[in-house]
Formats: sequence, C-alpha cells, structure tokens
Amino acid sequence: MESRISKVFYRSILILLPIICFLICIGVGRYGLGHKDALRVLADIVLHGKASVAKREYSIIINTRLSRISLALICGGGLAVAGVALQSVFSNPLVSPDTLGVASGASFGAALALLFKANLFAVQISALLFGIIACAITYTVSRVKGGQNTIMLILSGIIVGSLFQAFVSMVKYVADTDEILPNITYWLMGSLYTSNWKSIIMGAPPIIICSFILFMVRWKTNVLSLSEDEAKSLGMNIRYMRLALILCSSVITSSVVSMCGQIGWIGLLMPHMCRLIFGSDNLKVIPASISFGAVFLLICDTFSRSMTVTEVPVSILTALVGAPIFLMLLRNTGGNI
Amino acid sequence: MKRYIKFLAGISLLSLLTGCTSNNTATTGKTSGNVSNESVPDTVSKESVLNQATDGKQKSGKRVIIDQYGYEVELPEKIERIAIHRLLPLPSVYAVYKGGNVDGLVSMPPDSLIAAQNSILSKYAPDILNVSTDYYKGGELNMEELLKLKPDVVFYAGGDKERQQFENAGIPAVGFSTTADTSTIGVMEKWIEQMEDVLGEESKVNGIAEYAAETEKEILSRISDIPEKDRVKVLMIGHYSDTNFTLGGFGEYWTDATGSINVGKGAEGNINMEQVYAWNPDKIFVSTLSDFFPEDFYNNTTVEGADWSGVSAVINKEVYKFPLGMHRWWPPSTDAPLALWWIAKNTYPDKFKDISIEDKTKEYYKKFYDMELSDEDIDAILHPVKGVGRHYY
Amino acid sequence: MIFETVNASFSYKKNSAMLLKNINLNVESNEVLAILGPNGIGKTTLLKCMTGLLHWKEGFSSIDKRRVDEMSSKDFFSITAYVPQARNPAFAYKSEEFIMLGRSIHVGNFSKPGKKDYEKVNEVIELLALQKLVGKFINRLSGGELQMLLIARALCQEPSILILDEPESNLDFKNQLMILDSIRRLADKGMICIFNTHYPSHAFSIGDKAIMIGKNSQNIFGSVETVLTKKNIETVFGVNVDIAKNISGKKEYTTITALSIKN
Repeated sequence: MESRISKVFYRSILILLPIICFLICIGVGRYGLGHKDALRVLADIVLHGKASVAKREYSIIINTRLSRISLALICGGGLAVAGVALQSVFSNPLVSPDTLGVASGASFGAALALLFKANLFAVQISALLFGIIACAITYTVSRVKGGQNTIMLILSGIIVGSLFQAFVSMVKYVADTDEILPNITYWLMGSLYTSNWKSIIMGAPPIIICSFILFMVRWKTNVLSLSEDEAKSLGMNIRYMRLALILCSSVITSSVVSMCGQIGWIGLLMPHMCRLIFGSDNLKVIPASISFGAVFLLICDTFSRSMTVTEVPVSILTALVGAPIFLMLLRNTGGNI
Repeated sequence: MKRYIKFLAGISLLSLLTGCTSNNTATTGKTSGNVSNESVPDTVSKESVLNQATDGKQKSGKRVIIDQYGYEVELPEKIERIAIHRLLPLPSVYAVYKGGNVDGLVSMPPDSLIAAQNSILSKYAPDILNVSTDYYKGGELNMEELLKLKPDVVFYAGGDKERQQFENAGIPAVGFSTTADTSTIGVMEKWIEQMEDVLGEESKVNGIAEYAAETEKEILSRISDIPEKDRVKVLMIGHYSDTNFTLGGFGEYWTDATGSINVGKGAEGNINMEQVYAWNPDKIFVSTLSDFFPEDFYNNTTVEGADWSGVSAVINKEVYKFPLGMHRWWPPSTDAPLALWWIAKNTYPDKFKDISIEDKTKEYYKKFYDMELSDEDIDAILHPVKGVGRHYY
Repeated sequence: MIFETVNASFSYKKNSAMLLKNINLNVESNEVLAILGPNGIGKTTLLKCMTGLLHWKEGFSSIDKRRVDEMSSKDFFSITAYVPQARNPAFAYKSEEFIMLGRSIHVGNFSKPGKKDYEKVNEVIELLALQKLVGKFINRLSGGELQMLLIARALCQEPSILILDEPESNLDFKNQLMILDSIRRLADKGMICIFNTHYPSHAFSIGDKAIMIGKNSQNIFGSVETVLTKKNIETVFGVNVDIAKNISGKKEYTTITALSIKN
C-alpha cells in the first residue's frame, strides 16, 4: 500500500505542525516579548519556577499567551474532529456541528443554565444535553427513505439552529437582571478572549478525552459512512457506533461553546481540506483534521489578539478565511470530494 | 442539477453562518462612547435655535427640527411625555434642565435608574425613582412596552436600526449624539441646547458651560509647565466586566483636558491584558460603568484569568474610581466640571495641593443645584457604592 | 454447510398482504442459487430477509440449523457477506481503501487494519484482476468497476456464504463473464453463493438451484432444470422463450432465447 517512509513523513508533519505553530505564536503578542525571549521565559518558569522571572513576563506568557494558545489548539482540534465524526454518522461531507444545530443547542443549554445561576459544571452539562437534543432533532427530521439526504439534512440543521437561537433570545428576555444578561449575550460571540486556566481545566478534559476516543475508532468510522445495510452487513453495530460518535462530537462542541461561544467553519472546512490532501479514509482524515484544526484556530486567534490594539472576535476571522476557501473548494469539486 | 443544488446549499450555508457571526458581533460593546459617522450640525447660539423652533416649517401643527445626527424630525405640537433610550446620563441632565424634577419623563434605561437609586440624584429629583424602565426588559428594546407609555417623543442614541424602529412605531425620535463635541462637557451642553429646542423651554440651570471653560483654563495653566517626559501615562477604563473590556470614547477628553498621556487613545474594542502590559500605565482611572474597584485591581479579583499584578499603576497603588454624583462622572453629566478637578488632582497631586475636591463639590452643588451637601453626602459622591455599574449592553 | 429458508413470509406493512409467501429453499456448500423474477417482485427484499437486514414475519432462515434471527449480527456476518447494488458513494475513497472496509468484521473497534488485512486485500485484487483500479477514487469509476470493488470488498470478509444483489447488471460483456466465473469458482471451492439476476441464461450457466418468484407471491424452487422451464418462464415473466442446448468444445451450454411477449 504505502511506503514506510511516506507514513513516517506524514505522521511527523501532523505532529510537528502544531508544535511549530506553538513555538511561533508564543512569541507573538501586543507586548514586546519575541520568540527568543518568550521561550527563554517559558524555559525559566519550567526549570526554575515562577519566582525566577519578572511578574510582568510571567503574567503575559503564562496567563495571556499560553492559556489562549492551549485553548486554541484544544478547541480547534476538537471542533475539526467533531466535524469528521458527524460527517461519518450522517454519511455526508457537508455537515458539521454548526450546520446541524449542535452549537446552537449548546448555546441555549448554556444560556438556560446561566439563567438559573448554575455553577460552571452545570453549565457544561446543560450545554451538552441541549447540544445532543438539537442533533437528535435534526437527525430525526431529516430522515428520508432512500434518496438524497443532503438537502434535507442541511435544511433541518438550519431550521433547528435558528430555533435554538430563538430560544436563546427568549432566555435573554426572561433574564432581565444584572450579571446574567451580558454573560448570555456573550455566548453568541465566538471568541477566545476570556480564556483563563480555571475554565480550561474544566472544559478541556472532555474535549481531549472525546477527541482521543474518536481518534481510536477512526478506521471503523469509515464503515459507518456507508449505507445502513452495507454497514450492518460488515458486522457493525450501527446504533452504538452512531450514538458514540454523536455523543463524542456533542461533548466536544458543547465544551467549546461553554468556553468560547460559537466558532464556525472549523468543523466543516478542516475535514474537507484534509480529504482533498489525504483522501477520504478517516484513518488519515481524523488525525490530520485534529492537527490542521488546532493550527487553524491557533493562527486565527493569534491574529485575533495581536493584529490590532483591540481584539477581533475570532469567529469573524474563521468566517472570513473559511467561507471563501470553502466556496472555492465547493466550486472546484462540484460538491464531490 | 445535483451539482447546482449542492452549490446552492453551500451558498445558503455560507450566508447563514456569516450572517450569524455578523449579527452577533454587533453586540460587541455598544457603548455610549462609540464614534459615529453621522454629520453634526454646527454650533448655533441659543437665541437663533429658539427662533428657528417657532419659525420652523408648519406641517399641520407640527414643527420640524434637525437632530444631532442630521436627520429631520417632525415634532408634535404638544410634548408632554418623553422617553429616553440608551443615553444613560440624559435623565439626570433632564432633571437639572427642569431644575429639580423629571416632569414628563415616562421611560428611561434601567442603567440610569441604578445610578439614580444610589446617588444624590434621588434627593435632587426624587420623582426620578418612579420612572419606568420596563421598555428595556431583557436587554432589548421592547417597542410594545414603550408604546404602552404613550410617549410623545423619544430621545435616543443609535444608528439607522433604532431610527427605523421608532419610525415604524410612529414615535418621533430625536437623536442625541454622544460625539456632538470633542469635549465631554460640550456634549452635555449640546444636549441641553437640543432639549431647549425641542421642548421650547429654557434650561432652569445656567452657567455650567462657563464654569467648565474657566476650570479647563485654570487646570491647563497649572500644568502647562510640566515637561513632556514628566507627563503621566493614564489608562482610562470605561467598561470593564467579565465579558467586556473597552475603553469607551470619553476618556480622551478627560486626559486631554488634564494634561496626561492617554495610552489607549483610539482603541475601540476589547483590550487584552497583554496590551495593558505593553502600555504599562502609571495611573488607572476606572469609570463607574464598571463594577470593579481599586481593591479588585490590587487583589487581582477583577476578571478570572486577568492578572494586573505586574502593571505599574497597580504596583504603585494608583488606581482611582470615578465618583457618582448627579450621574456617573465619566460620561457627559452636569457634574462634569467637578470631574475635571478630581482627575487633575489625582493625576498631578503636587500641582493641585491647594484644591479640596470636597469643598469644590459643596460649592458647586450649592451654586448650580441649590443643595446643601452634608459631609456624608460628599463622601457618598466621591466614593460610590458597589453594584452601580452598567449591566445592559 | 447448509443455508435454509423455511416457510418464510414477509410484508412491509403489518396487516397487508404478504409480499413474499411461503418461501422454502436450501443451498449447500459448493452450490449456487439463482433468484429470478420480474422487476419489483421482491428479489432484493428476499435477499435482505435472508441476511436478517429485514425480519421474516413468518418462518425463518437458518445456517446449519441455527436460526438467523437467533444469531448476533456479528456472528452472522462473519459467515455471510452481502454485496448490494452499486450506489453513489458519499465519500471518495481510493479503491484499495474501499476494499479494505470488508476487513471490518475482523478488525476490532479501536484498531486499524494490519499486515494480514493488507495481504488479504492484495489477494482479492489479484483474484479479480483489479490492479488497474488501485489508486483511483471510487467516485470516478464506472458502475461496473464499482460493482467489482463491492464484490472484492465482500470477499475480504472471508465469508462462507456470499449473497449478491444483481452483480452482473452494469457490467460489460467481459466483466459479466468474469463475475459469473468467479462466483462459480468460489462455489467450487466450497462457498455457498446466492445471487439475484435478471438473466435466466446466467442461472443456467452457473446455477445449481434456482427460485423463481411470480405474481401473487407464487414461487418455484428446485434445481435449475426443474424451475427454468418454458412453461414456468411464460407464467412468471409473460414471455415466450425457446430453451436449447448447445455443445461447444467439451461443455454443454443451455441457451434461452426470448421469442415474443405473451398476450
């Protein structure tokens, strides 16, 4: 099949890419610390402890840059692989957490929990629950016996997404007091701006665990993308497999939403790009998507926080870059990957 | 055909998603300090304004004026019920304009009420506490609630969206621009002028503008000899909460008038901590629109994840909280000249050793509001309580 | 090994008339069963019922007396491979990646294909002479080439029973022959082969047994000779045919020629 060398090469690229980007981006920011200095500070902190560097430098490297870089890598990789998983479940390359309404459902769940002044953990659970519900509704509505499901799926996803956005507005209307309101409005924006270690410690583990699970079953997910009869006849327990994939991608999406709001295009664009480069086998697409997704969000967010004096919400950048690229890809391939 | 359908699906996806993101970004910190691009009418003298009001086109009993956004507004003959939208300080300015009451004000923003409830304004014009804020339930303009109050006119700040909304609802809408002047005091003056124009009544309180001009002159003369290298770097924070860290538009006037270097000049949008460190201000002034106090900066209890401990102003304990008098002293309010003294004294204490803010405040309130302030009153003004920040964005 | 279906009936809706009624058939190792009938009569449905993808309303299918409905899906498909009709694939796999999916039954949930799996795939590619398709994307292949890949994929499962839904439709003259040949050879090696076909002549050329399904849920099962008679074909298909035997070389061939449509 493939030579040993190209396998090793491809694997190294996927691992090296995020690492290189990390090393570059840790040296980018509004404050002067460039790569050499930034890495020196990081090394000092790791080797000699917090007290060995200036307070200011510690604050910038650890609290601002490192936390955002980590968040971007984790969320970018997570969203991308969640996209691949959903595309396998629905046998459709045009679905993603955004287009299936999962992200909107998660936003609503989070808003609802905030309305009842729930703690961080409950917010995440609520986001997860409604993310799954939204996905389930889209799935059920789109079931058409035989025939092309693409149109139905996308339409259902748009409808369900809009529905949950409307619900969020309802929550805003009811939440007529103080702190609750600005927090809820915030969920609609996609931004890594409020990243902090406390929320990362809560929100990152589910993303990492579920991404890992998806990574482990990556070859098997290929079977799921065949027709139901074919998948069954290849010995797959479709129900469990679908459930597992939907659950994993919903957990990832809702964790991302609870930390960063809705960030679009990564779950749709990254798998698409990876398929163009590596082919459709999820054996390669899943690891590649994780890597590319992480890097894409990291680069976008680095621009977000350092391009101008003030922040540019990262969802603007992902849309500005993602939409034209996706349009171009669609046009060139005519919808077929 | 199949290809075409898939292409269409892609387009609709695209417009949906970019539509979503652009809608959502519109909610990013719409502050009262946003720079607007609308044209601003030239300053006119008070008399000619009043003359214009009576000589204006008569359209079956209605007058037409041009508002501060440059739009023509048809006013009803009798204006007895006024609503105010988005202009947080305007209700207090209106109370001063009326000389101690808010007759005719039927609706105002909730954030104005919060300020009024916790400030001296509740003593100056107690009826302000009864003004309805229901129209802004849920953080969004509820037109039906507003119409229930039968306003004759609405004073608003905003863009085409708001203007259209009021037009569709049939409420004459007069735009009050927050950038009608480069000076925060000038903005307040222009607001009073426009109210006189619209309501056909002269302001009950006069002379604030002249007082302000004198104050500005004196302050500048005191600091004019400070060399460039000794000028203080100041960070003026307009809005700071869990989800919002924007400097707002009025800070530039405050620093220009008091001779300090505004590190955040021109910055519109959210600021991240790294940028603060890049600026490294000597002093920080926090407006009362934010709920954070100097202790929060010193103890790092502001926003989760924000570490202020390395900033010069925090290390040297030079963080100051704006006072709350008739209204918050940060945006255009009738207490604005006092704010000048307060900022100047905190910025260059050596140059203003002889000035007592407490005394200035007492004098001012007697002169313009005919109020005798007790020591507790003054203390309450200069040290606002917690929880009076802006909550609706 | 013997695959049987006993007194089985099926209908899609609860209280409507049975689409398939009283199906009785059996196939043993080394045998090929051909299923014939007009369009829409339920041939594909029959296959799906036999594989457990649909459930018999009455009766049952069994392998060596073990009822299919009492076997786990995994167990059943370790023994049986199902080749559906070629359909537009959702994702553009490469041919060899697509064939590899047939190894799924032998690969754990958290694993990926190993050396043995790659070897098997190569074996099958050799067997069906599909070398020129390697490296090509399946969405660029013709219907016939895709059909070949589906069969290759099924063979990777290393089944004992091979069930194919109209495998020779869409194939060119040569490929038709190759497929039929392959089916026959697999049967000779011990496999049970069951296939749907529109061509009675194919039933003659490689079939041992046949079942013909007609209107009103009639069905006739038996050896190819007893089922495919002039009279039966006339009744089920409404076509007058001529059945003749030819000798070419050392082998005897049965040909069937359509004469006219019965009025």
